Order: sequence, then C-alpha cells, then structure tokens
Amino acid sequence: MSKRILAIEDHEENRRILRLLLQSAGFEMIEALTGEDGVAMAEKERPDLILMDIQLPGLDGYEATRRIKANPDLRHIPIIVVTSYALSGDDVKAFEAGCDAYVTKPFVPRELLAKIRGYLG
Amino acid sequence: MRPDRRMMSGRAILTKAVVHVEDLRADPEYAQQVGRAGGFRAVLAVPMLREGRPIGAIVVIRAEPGPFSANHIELLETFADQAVIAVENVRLFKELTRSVAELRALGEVGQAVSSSLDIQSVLTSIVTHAVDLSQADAGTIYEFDEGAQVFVPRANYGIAPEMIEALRQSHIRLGETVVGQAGSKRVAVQIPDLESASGYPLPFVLKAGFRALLAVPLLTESHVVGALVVRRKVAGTFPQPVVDLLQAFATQSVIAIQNARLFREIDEKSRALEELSRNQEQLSRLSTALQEPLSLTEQLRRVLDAARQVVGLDHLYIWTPSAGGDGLMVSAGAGLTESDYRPLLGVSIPFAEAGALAAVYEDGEPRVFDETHPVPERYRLRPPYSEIAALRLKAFLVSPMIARGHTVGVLSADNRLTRAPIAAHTVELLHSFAAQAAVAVENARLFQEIQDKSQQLELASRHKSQFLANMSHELRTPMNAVLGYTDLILDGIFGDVPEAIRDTLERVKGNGHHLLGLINDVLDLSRIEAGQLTLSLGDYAMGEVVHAVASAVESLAAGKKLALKAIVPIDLPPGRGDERRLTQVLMNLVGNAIKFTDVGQVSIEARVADGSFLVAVSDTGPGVSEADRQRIFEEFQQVDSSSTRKKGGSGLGLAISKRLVELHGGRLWVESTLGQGSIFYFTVPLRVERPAESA
Repeated sequence: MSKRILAIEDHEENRRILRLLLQSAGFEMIEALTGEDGVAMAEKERPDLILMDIQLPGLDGYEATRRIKANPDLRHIPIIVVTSYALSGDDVKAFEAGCDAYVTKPFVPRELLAKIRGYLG
Repeated sequence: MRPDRRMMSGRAILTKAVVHVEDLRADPEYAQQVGRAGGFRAVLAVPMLREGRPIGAIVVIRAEPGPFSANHIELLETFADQAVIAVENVRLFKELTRSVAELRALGEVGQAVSSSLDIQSVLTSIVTHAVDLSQADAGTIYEFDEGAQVFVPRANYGIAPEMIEALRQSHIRLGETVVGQAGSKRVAVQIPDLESASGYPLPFVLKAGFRALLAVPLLTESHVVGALVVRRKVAGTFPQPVVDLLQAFATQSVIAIQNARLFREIDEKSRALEELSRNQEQLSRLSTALQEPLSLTEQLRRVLDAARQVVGLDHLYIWTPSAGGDGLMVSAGAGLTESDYRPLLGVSIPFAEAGALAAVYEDGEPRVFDETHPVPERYRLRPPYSEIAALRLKAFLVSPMIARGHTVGVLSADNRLTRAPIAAHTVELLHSFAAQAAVAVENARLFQEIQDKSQQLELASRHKSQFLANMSHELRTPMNAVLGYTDLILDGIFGDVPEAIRDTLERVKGNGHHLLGLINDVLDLSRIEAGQLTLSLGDYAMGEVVHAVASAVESLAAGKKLALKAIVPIDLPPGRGDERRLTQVLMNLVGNAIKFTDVGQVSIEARVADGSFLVAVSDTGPGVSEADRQRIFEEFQQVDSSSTRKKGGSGLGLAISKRLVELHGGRLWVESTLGQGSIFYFTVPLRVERPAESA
C-alpha cells in the first residue's frame, strides 16, 4: 500500500504542484486547506507524513504543528514545514514548534522528494 | 558717612526737619570738636527731601551765637528744594541714559533674534550687550548639550582664545561651577569674589584676572537650554537690576537657540518629506518629533513679564488670530487679575469689530492713543466687546507682532490702573518685545508644522513598509508556482523533455529566480526599515561562509574568465552571528564584484582584526568614484542608472548588506581607485550575543 501524505496548504497552485510531484513518486496525497482541518484530518486519517505550510488562514502552521506533536497518538508522524522565503528566525520557530524538517519555497522538487523518502524509505 | 545726631546735617536728615541752633555751646548733644576747631557758634541745617525721603542736607554756620532770621530759614529751604531737584535731575538723567542704552541693546538683540537665523551672530550680539550693560568685563553663553549632559560655550565676549578653549575642555556638568548651579537650581547664581571662594574648579578664570561671576540659566518650562555668565575683574556683588537685565537677555538667548534648533529641524524635515514624495522607494529613517515641545503660552508669558519689568506698564496682552482665522484672541497676558482675564477667555473678537487691534494686525503699523490722541471712532471696539471692563480704555498702545515679514498677532498695553502716561520710548521698547513675541508665535507654528510633517512622514513610511511587505508576499506566491511547475517539467514528471525545450525552461527558471531575488530584497529592506528583521544568532565558521560563497559563484566567475581567490587563515576563531545573513552579505559583495568586473580577478579575504572579523572583497573592476561612495549604500542606487540596465540588480543589495552588518554591530565600507578596482570591507564582532539597536 502506498504511503499517505497529508499536505496542509491553502494555496491551490502549490497543492497542485505537490500532488503532481507526490503522485509521480507513487505517494497518495490527502489535503487540508486550513490549520484546523489539517489537525482534524491528521487525527482521523493518521497519515504517514505531513507537509505543513506556515502562512495559513486562522491557525498557523506553527500552532498546527504544536497541536499534532502534543497528541501522543500522532507524535511519531514526521512533519516537514514548507514555507515561503524564510525570514531569520522562522526555522528556529518551526523547530521549536516540533517539526522534523524544514524546506523553503521555492523548493526543488527532487530535493523535497529526497527528504520525504528519508522519512518514509 | 552715616547720619549722626551729633552733627547738624545728621540731625536734619534723621529728623527730616530744619535744625536751628542759636548757640552750639548750649546744645547738650553737640560734640564740641567741630565748634572748637572752627570757632563758630550758630548753625542752621535744612534737610533735602525727595518725596518725604531725605537725600542730603544743607548746613550754614555763623561765628556769632544768635538766631537766624525767618527769611534766612525760608531762603535756605528754597535752596534745599532746588538742590533736591538738581540731584534728582542728575539721577533721572543717569537712569534715562541707562534705560535708553538698555532699550537700544534689547531692541538690537530682539531684531537680531527675530530676523537672523545665524545663531552664532545672535548669541554673540546678546553676550556682548549683556557684558556691556552689566558693566562686566567678559561673558559666555553656554548651550546645554542634552546628549553629553555638559554645558558647551557657544558665544564669548572679552576672553582670550586660550580661555575659550579651556572652557570648552572643562565639560561643565549640571551643578558644577556657577554655570552648572544656575542650570540645576534654575536661578541666578553669583560668586562676588573668586579669591575668597574656596574650591572653585576652574582656576584659569581667576588666573585671567576675573573676580566676580554671575550666571543666569537659560530655561524652557521643563528643560535647561544653557546659561549666560558674565565675569567682572572687580570683586563685588552684582546688584539686582543687573541680575534682572541678564535674565531678560537669557530669555532672548533661549528664544534664539530654540529658534535656530527649530529652523534646523524643520528644514531637515521639509527636505526629507520632499525626498520621500519625490522618491517613493526611499525609506525614511527620520526621528519623530522634537525632543521638547515648546509651550507658546509659557514663552509669551515670559516675554510679557520681561516687558512689564522693563517698561512698567499695568497690563499687556498678546492677541493672535483665532483657530477659525476670523478674529483675534488673547493668547497671553501680564498684570491681569482673574476678573480681568475671565471675560476674555476663549473670546474671539471678529476683525470687523476689533477696532484698533484689527487695524494694526492688518496694516502692521503701531498705534498709540491717549488724552491728546483720542481713539477715533473707526478704531473703537464694537459692542459687546466694548463692554469688557479690561478693554474699556482711553489710553493704550497696540504694536504689531512681525516675524519673518508676516504679522502673526498684535501686542497691546495700557496703564488702566495707574493712569500714568505712556512714555514715547515705551512704545519703541514694546516694539522690540512684540518682535520677540512674534518669534515665539512663529516658533509654535513651526513646531506644529514639524509635528504634522513628522506624522505625515511616519505614516507615509509605515504605509510604504506595509505595502512593500504585502506586495512582496503577493508577488512571491505565484512566482513560487511558476518555478514549481518549471521544476516539475524539468524533473521529467510529465515525460522526457526535448533539449530545446529544456534549455528554454532553464532560462524561465533562471529569470524566475532572479525576479524572486529582487522581491526578497524589497521584503528584506522593508522588514529592516520596519524593525521587523531579527537576527537568528548561532555559532558559525567564517571560513565556511567564505568557501560556500566562493563555490556558489565559481561558475559565474569562470563564465567571465575571471580569477576567483579565497584567502582564509586556517586558525580563524569560531564566530557567533546570523550565518545565513552574513552569507547573504558576502554573496552580495562577491556577486557585485563579479558583475562589475570584466577583466582580472575577484578575491575574498577574511581575517581577525581588533577583535572582529574583517572581510575584504577586492576586484579589478571600474572602481567607485568618491562622489558615489556614499550613495551606493543608499536604497535603489547604483552608480548610474544605465549600469542598472546593463548589469541588472535591484540596487538594494548594498543597502541591505550594510544594514545587516550594522545589525551585527559591524561596519561596511568601500575603498576604491577609479580605473583600478574596489575593495569592499566589512567587519563583524567575533561573537554577537545580541543584535545591535536598529541600524
């Protein structure tokens, strides 16, 4: 069974790019558009990995990461934070929130895939 | 000589009555000596009285005992009266000469204050007149430097250059010497004799021959602006009138200093605002308002009080246009009681009904009315204003307040209580005070203008930073998608890509990254401007930063056939700072060097100097002219706009790099010889534990 990846991302084009990339690599992708939905879907679907955008409407990526990592049943799920042009301190904030890896947009597709495979290999 | 009852003159003065002794030998109180020596027996002494107070006595003596006739006594009394008048005339003449001199000095100084922006000449004029009129030998006006907390001599009179230098080196602080004490106690302070004053900290003052010192503070409501000191070579206390006079000069100095500061500030702000509107991209770094707001009422009150002290009028008023601009209102008064003032409070008298006040405001000509020049019908106040008790006047004067050619209000004065006539020289004197009041009003207006401009600036700057931050985010999102799709195609997700298409897509990708770089530059700068960019401090190796940058630009240099060198000692100490930002800085400098160099080499060298990393990027490019060496660090500047077109780039890189280095507490600069190349240097402390205050 192919591994399932939850992409929490509000921007449609970015979701589409991720979908094309992940599907081409043989992963299944499920999607959430807001932080709240993302946390709920993580609880319900128990994905194998989460790609987390930071600038989300409502609950932002840091807080969503914190909530997922605070749940003992979900804590083991690797979270890769994907964010726009990194401002100094964003990476520190992301790691403080509990993410496992950090990628800045524009990401190079092959590099992101390599990172994902590192966790799901 | 003190009056003594044993002397006839003394007795006449003490009793304020005629003393008539027919035979001295029969007078028990008389101390015989004079009588024996001169051999006279009868004495008549008449006191000289001015308004009931004795100012002297006339004594006549006779060798023979016996009474003086009633005629003699009357004659002597007439002489005494005439002598009183003569003495009084001399005194009045002296006083008049003195007040004319004071008037002239105050007038000249007032003129200088209101017309000249050259603070130095104004202060020099003030100190010169102050020394002259206080009959001192030397004087200095100090300005209090708020930052350094010391009094700095700004204008001097009557002292040698070496002493001026010594005063400058003395760094007088609040509470030190008469100057600092006048400043800290906010009152006049004097030392009547330096020789007997122990522990005076400036020995060179005594050595220069000065014995007596008097200092008055230059004050605003809440701050010490400076001090005015006069020095005299003769020991002794400075009398109260001199202290008062000096205080009047101090007020003038404050106005002059404030005036000059305000003008400097408004000039800068105006230029900054112009700059901003001309060049929307230029981000402003101006401080907000002036350090200290001027209270107009307080300034006017001081001018009026000073005027009342000097000219001795009962009431003085300053009228300025009301907010609506359709009438005149009292902004300040002197000598007014509560009941005088209450009916005037908040009342704007429309120009059409304000009589002489409006006339003077409109044509700028002073007017005086009294018994012999009654108020003509057209200059009378109209009801209901004519019913206000304080304004029901037969004799008064109105003087225009003119600052820099504009009438900003009028000053009116009357002797309603004493009904004393208004002297001609009073009119002239008040004219000079009106000029001062005008400057104060003008200052307040300028101050308001500065505040408005500051607010506009701040708002404009904030809007712009916010706009730039939003825009760059909005621009970045679709750009990321463009690059994402390009990468997907190039990665073969949709199948094999033919070579021709691959090459074109690589160009799309290259241009996209370039555009993204520009957007990021704008975002960086707007964040720095808004104080939102924080350093992410961590441990790093400077050698790695240099090598990372060198390898990133290797192909770029090779493409232009430039030699690229990186020189790093192997024993560089570990650094602490924002590695990513320092890499960005070095990348920018090296990128520029390669971009602008066509032949030769680019080298990067890092070493430790004075406890900091010193990084130098040198090239064999065209060099930067002296005129451009400052400008290239400003936003959106390249040496010329044609090079922007040729070489690309946002023109923000150096501005950002400079700020990033400054946030680390370091410095970035350039040395260059035109035609031979440039060396860009930056320093950063080895270990940055906290970011420097906003660059």
